[in-house]
Amino acid sequence: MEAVAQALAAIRARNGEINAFTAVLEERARAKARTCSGVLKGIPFAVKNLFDIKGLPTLAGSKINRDLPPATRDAPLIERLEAAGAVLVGATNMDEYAYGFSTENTHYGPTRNPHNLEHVAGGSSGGSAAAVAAGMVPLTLGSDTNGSIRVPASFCGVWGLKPTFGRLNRERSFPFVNSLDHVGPLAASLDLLAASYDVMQDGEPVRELKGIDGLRIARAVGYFEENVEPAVCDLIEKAAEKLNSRKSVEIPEAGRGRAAAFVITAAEGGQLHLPNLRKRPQDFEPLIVERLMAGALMPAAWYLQAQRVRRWYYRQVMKLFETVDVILAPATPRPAQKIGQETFTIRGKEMLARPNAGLLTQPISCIGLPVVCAPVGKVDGMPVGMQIIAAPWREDHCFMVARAIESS
Amino acid sequence: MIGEKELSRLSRLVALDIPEARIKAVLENLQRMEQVAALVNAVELGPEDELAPEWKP
Repeated sequence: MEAVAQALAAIRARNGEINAFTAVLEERARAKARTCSGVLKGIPFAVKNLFDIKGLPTLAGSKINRDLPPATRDAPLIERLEAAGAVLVGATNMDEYAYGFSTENTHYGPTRNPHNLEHVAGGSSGGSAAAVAAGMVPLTLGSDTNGSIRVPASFCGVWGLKPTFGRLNRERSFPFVNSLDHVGPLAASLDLLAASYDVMQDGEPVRELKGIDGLRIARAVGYFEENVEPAVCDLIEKAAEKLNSRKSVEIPEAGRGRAAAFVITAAEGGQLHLPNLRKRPQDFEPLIVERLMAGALMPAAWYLQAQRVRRWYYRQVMKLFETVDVILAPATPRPAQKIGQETFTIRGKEMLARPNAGLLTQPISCIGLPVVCAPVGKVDGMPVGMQIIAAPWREDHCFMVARAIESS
Repeated sequence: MIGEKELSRLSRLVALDIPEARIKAVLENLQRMEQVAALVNAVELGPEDELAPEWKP
């Protein structure tokens, strides 16, 4: 009960300046805290507001979804966490309909990075990452289509897990891109990340896994250096050295993988919202409405080609896993930009800030590989994270390497 | 590169009436998508690269 009371107090004290939460469920949380039991007993958690919470409309960061009837049942991941004793305390802010990497939400306000309030928290699970980084709750749930757990985890300096595509149950969560949506936890500690994952998944537990003997670990170069600020590359190199890894690999055709994910996202996202784009375009987030409209116009030939290229790209990347078990790569090209910032510079090249925060995450989620995002240090006082990437269904490898990083 | 004429035809095909004030931004977005799609469209694929997502009932 104490942890829940402390969380509620922390939310009251800090949410005004951070804006991580869009709903706080004080009565529900206090009632649950009195009777909870299990491996996550009494641990307060929050969920991105695209997960169904009984009694609330599922906003998914939007104004339009306020008109939906309240959810009649919690999402299954909430049910699992609460069955294990965790206590839901609220819902967190996000980019509208998950179509963003910054949680600059016009309807509900931007979520601010707890490390520097003038900077974005990342997105689209920005509220979930900021809530953990600000010490409001130690555990949250997010979703990741093209980087929406990993980007905010990196920007806020917290742990995040994007599991293998299809590993965790997406039921009763508002969709974005059916072909690419993943769900997963963000946490203040690796142990809690692992414990919560074990509660939500049906495979072999990962929490007690230790040791990296025999694991073949390599650092991604090529695309994953050319599109990254040198100071971030240095942190990844240092992490690799701590693991005694001297091997490097190029993930083949990463740029085309990213392009395929981009096209699939635009087409499916646009099509999903087409009825409302026709009826009430003025009610959408200004930062995404024209992008959604453009996606809805995309020729089917592009979309189908992108789906096939995804399979082609996947076959090429899987060849890497014949000689490597885990690949290390930065999660973001640089630390978080300022709220409202339109462009940033990577290796002297100026580019749009918002879409390019996901440059490094999109090629990986495109083919559904599991990733633990680990905080690995700071650049100019702001956190950056590292992707610990494994072959499909090998979250165990991700967690073994994450433990080694944590203890190094 | 896609222009306003193509945009107008595409929007009619999907019955999406784009307000005048939004045309420029929608066009810019679609042109950006066209540039990105070119990377994808340049790939020569074989029959082993599945034609469409596999639907499992």
